[in-house]
Amino acid sequence: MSLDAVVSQIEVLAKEEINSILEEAKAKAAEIIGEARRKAEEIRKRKLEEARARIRREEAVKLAEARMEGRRKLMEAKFSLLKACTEEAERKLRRLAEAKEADYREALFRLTLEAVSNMSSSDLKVYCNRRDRQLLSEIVRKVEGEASRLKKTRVKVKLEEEPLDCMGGVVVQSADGREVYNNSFEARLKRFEEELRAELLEIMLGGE
Amino acid sequence: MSVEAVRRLVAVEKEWRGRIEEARRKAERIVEDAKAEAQRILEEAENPESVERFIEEERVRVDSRIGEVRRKFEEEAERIRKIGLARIELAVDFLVKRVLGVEV
Repeated sequence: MSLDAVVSQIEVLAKEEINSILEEAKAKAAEIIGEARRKAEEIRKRKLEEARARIRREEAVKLAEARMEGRRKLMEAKFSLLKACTEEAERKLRRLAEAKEADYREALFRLTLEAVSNMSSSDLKVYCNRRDRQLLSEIVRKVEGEASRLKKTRVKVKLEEEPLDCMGGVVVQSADGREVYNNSFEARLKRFEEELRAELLEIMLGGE
Repeated sequence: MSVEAVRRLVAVEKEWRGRIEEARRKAERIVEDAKAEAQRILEEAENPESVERFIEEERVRVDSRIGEVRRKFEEEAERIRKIGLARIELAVDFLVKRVLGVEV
């Protein structure tokens, strides 16, 4: 083999080795970066999942708060209707009582009879406002008669002088003062406004 | 083989050994650079800013959804008020009759 051929052979072998060294390094570098990218993707995915879970939790809390507040607003809307209804009913009752029409006379009789009938005592005092005194004096005997018939015992009802501060209706008290039945408009309005809430809303909202 | 030839061979071999050494150093640099790049990639992934945009977008979506829920309740409350006020007279009459002791 000639010298040139040997030199050429050395060059070829050396170049091959250099190529091999560099290719191996490039392959290792690509593997390192590839592995880093894969891990980075995993990290990003994990972080996104964590963020997503945190956002979901926050969303659930905020949604629950918004729904609670919303339900409170619906309740407020219904209560404002009930309040408006009660206020209007009070105005109407006042007008009706002040007008002293036949309807009111009948109502006063019914309310007095109901109060008297619900007392266990048979010796009773009845109170009303100054305006209704004349009207009540005209019906108190009829109440006595009707109550005696219903209770099958002699019922005595005395109309008291002391005026009651109320829109209308009566307050009945036993003569010994131990028993009281408040059948004034105010008491009845308060009682029925509470008792009839569901029905009043049903009328106004029609099952909404 | 002449002395001259041997010298030439030694020189050539030395030259290529040098080149191979240089290639080895270059290879080491390539690997070191790759490790540094890998480190940068991992640090970038660990950086909280990488998910901040997603979180921001999600928050906007959540706020929009909450706003929609609130708006629906507001509308429902307003609808209840309107329906109720339109029929309040019926309820007033019912309540007044009960207060007056009229059987309804």
